[in-house]
Amino acid sequence: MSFLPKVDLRRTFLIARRDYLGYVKTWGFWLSFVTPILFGVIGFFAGNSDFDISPPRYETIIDETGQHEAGILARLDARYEARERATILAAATILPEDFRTELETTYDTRGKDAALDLLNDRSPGLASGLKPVERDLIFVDAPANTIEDLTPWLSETKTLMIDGKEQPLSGAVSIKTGETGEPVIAYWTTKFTNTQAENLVNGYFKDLAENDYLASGGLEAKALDTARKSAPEVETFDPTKSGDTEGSGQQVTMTDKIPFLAAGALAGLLWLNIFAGSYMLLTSMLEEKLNKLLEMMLASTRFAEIIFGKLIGVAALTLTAMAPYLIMGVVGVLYFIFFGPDKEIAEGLIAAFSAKMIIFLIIFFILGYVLYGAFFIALGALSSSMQDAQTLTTPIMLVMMAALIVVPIGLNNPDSPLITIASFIPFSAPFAAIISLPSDPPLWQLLLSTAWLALWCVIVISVASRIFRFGLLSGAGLEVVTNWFKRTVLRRKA
Amino acid sequence: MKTSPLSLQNVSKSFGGKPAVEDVSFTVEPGQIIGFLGPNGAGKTTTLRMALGLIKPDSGTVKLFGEEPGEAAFGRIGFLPEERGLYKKQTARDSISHMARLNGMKKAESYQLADEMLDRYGLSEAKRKKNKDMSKGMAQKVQLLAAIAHDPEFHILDEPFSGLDPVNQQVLEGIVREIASRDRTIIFSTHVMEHAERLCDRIILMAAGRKVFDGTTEEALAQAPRRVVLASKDETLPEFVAPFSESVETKPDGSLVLTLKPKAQAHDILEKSVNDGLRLTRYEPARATLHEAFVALVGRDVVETMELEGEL
Repeated sequence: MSFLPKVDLRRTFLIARRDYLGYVKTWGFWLSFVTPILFGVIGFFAGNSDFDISPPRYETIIDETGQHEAGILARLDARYEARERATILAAATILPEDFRTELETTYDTRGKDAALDLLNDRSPGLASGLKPVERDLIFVDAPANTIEDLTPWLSETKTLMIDGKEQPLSGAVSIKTGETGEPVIAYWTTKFTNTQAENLVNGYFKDLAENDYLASGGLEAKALDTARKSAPEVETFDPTKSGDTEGSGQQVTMTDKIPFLAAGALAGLLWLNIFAGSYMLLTSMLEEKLNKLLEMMLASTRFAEIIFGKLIGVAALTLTAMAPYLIMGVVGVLYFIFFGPDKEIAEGLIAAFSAKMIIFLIIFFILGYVLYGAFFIALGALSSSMQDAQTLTTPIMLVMMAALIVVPIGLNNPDSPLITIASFIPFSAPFAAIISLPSDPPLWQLLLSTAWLALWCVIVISVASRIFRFGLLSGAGLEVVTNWFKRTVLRRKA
Repeated sequence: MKTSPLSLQNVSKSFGGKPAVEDVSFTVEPGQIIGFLGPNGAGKTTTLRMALGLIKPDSGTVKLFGEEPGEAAFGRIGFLPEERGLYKKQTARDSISHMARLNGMKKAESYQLADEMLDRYGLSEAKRKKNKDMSKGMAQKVQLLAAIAHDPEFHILDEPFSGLDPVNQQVLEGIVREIASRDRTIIFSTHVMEHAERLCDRIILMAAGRKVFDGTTEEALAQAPRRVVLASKDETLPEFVAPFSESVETKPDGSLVLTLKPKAQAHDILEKSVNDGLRLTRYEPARATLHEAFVALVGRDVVETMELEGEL
């Protein structure tokens, strides 16, 4: 007796082909295939065009105290300068750490222009791609001296003329001296859902209070800030890395971190693929059952051929649907490995996408997909409507969601015993095994996990075939399961 | 000698303890057209599913082309299930080609055949039409063509006429005759007795999971009560026919419909009327129908229930 069901490859291929083309030939498929690319293209052009999705807000300050307006404006300038600094440093993220440190120091000591020159010398492409930070909050001189007189502008019956264009006045900050001598601040606007100006002024007055407090003890806020910046930072070392006794060469770098991050991303991607594929199988199976065509096919096709054909067809469909993302991912990784400016990242990516990772990724994708897919096929065969299918698949969906929890746990604690246990639980094994790969678990553990999962796949396929056969020929839906439960488990007449 | 396409020996099947088929035996001979008749719940579909190996009998044996039902018969059978359906987004030619290819035909050959069949049966305009855009009758014909495209030796058609309008029923009768002319074997289930009467060499009648009749159409018709319609101006006609009749029904026009006793013959009445000098104004032996045979075999109660349920 053969352990695995016999299948005719030609018929299996024909069923897979029909399932694949049945979806691929529809407008809906291509629409969902093209939509992310379309969004990417629109995003790219929108980013490079003059179209502004959030035009600047023009606001004003009426400071009757005469003490705070300059401080608030200075704070706003400082905020945009900090944003500019962050943008320049972010552009250099993919460059080596040494250069990033040099760039940061240059910016802080010699200013923005010097930092830009340095970046331009190192990577003209990155420097030229930088866009100036656009100010989305601009304070203008008040067109009237009191809030009452400003009302026509605030209600937009009157507009400001700025650079030859009419602009609305979005808000006005009024600062007065209260009866106790404390400032009384009011913010007047008809567009109160935007709180930029409100937050800015609040921040200014909080800083002012902090400075006053420090000054009362003879301290300065600037000095406190400098002291904090000069504090030493922890360096991380890995004792398993080769290096001298002083620890040189054993520092943990991006190269060491990337395999873990990549494994997390791959485990997540694997989950997404399996989820998408399994759900497509469920709907395909339900469509098939409602079509009533399977019975006709069964006069010339084995049950196993239909199941395997569907699994293969939908797997191909899932991979096609994911193709744009997979291609972009592969191209991105190859670009960084061969042309990337940072050697650390390239080395990290080479370590992350090792032959071992790729082989086990393929193996666990196949096994995970077969395991979940067979379940969904069986449940689809038992359902007679989408409502039935949703009710029946809820428990397995919850199991699938629970299995995903191994990804964050594995990222934070790759040696967690939970990950080892999860790699032997069939439903979580594909994700747990992938996330544990960078920690270099013993090969026997991986092989045992693979064999165990493969055994479960065979069991699930065998059970699913029986359920599929029964569900298909019974013609009924959820009541078949409930009747069976009443009859067999509760020993009651269904 | 050709192997019998299908043979069932003492086959029984129950679902949830309720018997669906009980001790059914019959053998299908090559080249026969068999009408598989019976009301809903008679066990026809279950029997056909067991014949194909889709469900296993609880007891008894099923042989398809002399072997256990299964892969040995793949490609040799054309099966049209009771419940109809096609892939909604597939075209008619794709549907036919797909089934033909599953039955072993090559791609180019299958498409050529699909086009030929669609032309032959008046569906030329549906070739590239998606199944969802076709009328029910058209889709049903496409499904039948898909089931028989690979020219199987044995056709199992479960209720092929149901849901079709009279015109398409005639087209389907034509298809069945055309298949039979190629010396193929056909078994089809139906509620419409006229189709069975016109098409079949043999009738298998099922009721309540049991086979209640198996024989030629003539033998089936012989089971029907024989009737004769008589009329005369002579008032003694009722007494005159009493020795021949099992029951007599008087029509509004005064004519009598006699159900003959088993041994009585219509021509005996004619002969006696001549001898006795009774002048008959009407003498019409009525042709027995399969429906009447069915009623005689199954019983009036069952038939009345079926008539109420719209099955007859």
